[in-house]
Amino acid sequence: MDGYRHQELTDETIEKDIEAALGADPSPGFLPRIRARIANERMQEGWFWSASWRWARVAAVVTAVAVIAVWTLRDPSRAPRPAHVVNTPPVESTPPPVDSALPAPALVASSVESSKPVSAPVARAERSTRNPAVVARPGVLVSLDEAAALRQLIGAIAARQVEAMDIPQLAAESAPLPMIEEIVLEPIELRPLDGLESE
Amino acid sequence: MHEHAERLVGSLVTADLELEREFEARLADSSRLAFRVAFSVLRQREDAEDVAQEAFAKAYRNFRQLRDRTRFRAWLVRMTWRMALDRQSANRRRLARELPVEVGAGFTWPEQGRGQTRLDLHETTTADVVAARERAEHLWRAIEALPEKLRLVVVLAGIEGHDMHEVGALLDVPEGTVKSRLFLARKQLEERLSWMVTDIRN
Repeated sequence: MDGYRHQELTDETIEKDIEAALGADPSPGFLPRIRARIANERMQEGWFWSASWRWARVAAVVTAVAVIAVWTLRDPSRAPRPAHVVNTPPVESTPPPVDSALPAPALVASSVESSKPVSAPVARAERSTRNPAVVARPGVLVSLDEAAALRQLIGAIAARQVEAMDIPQLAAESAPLPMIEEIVLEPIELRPLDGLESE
Repeated sequence: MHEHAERLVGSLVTADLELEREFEARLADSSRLAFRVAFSVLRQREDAEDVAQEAFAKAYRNFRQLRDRTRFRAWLVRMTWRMALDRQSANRRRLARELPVEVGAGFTWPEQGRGQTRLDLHETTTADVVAARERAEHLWRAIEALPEKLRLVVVLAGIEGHDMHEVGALLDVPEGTVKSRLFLARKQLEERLSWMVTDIRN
């Protein structure tokens, strides 16, 4: 029971002892056991792969169905719902008579409607813009009076009653811009409340 | 189109077969190394075999992802070492839990070098065998007390006659680092073992 007692401790001795201590060999069944384990892993992996392929197939089918659904919904032959941005004529004011010889106004809207915010959701408005049959014109740009005046002007230019080159000069002479009055704001004075002051 | 698909499947199957063959070659080449690394930590044949087996299963699962296949041995060594340390901790925890019950049942706390190098005082054997066991026991204790980095270098240098270069490749450190670590480890082992010898003499 003397262990290292009578032996000199040198690098060589220690090295030799370490090699002897670590020189253990596995049992003969070790390698076959690992191989069996690997085969088991392989089977599991095969199952895994087949499962993953099954999921891939399911995913492919779902994607195909989704694509078909989207394609069908976007089909222009199907009647889309009218867009909410299309304006209705004003109730209280009737539009002035329009010369039928002139081309139809491209942009027509009422001043009453122009002040209203568009209540339709953005997505619906966007969807309506995709179909050219539904949306041919934007919502509100000019009033009916202005549109009529514009049509008359275009008609006069076409009939050579008005020279287009003279329009800027005529406009400058006929409608001088009104002077802008200066806005004076009175300073706001904040007074403490009587009840709070006493506290 | 069909021919292309068939060719693709064929190439995938061939690649799989090549991978399997390569892994089999690595397994045959490194199984003993993995066992010995695990054994250097656990010092029990059954536990070491279990851990090495687990390490190979894990290696197999991740073999596809290993970019540099030449580094398989280093990868396996690190994995086995880590798993063996985990198993050792688990064993210690389990023993600590079972101890109060077992002591009552006449169980004696095993020496730290249980298993192959376990010293059974009731065993009748020759003095030489007991002395060798005692010596091995001291050595194991001294190795176990080393810091992990030094310990791993000592173990790998002691397995299968690895030289500095091979140990460096297995640990992914320069040869000089291996040399200095080995030097430090031997110094510490000498100190510990001489202290043990003095302790026994006294």
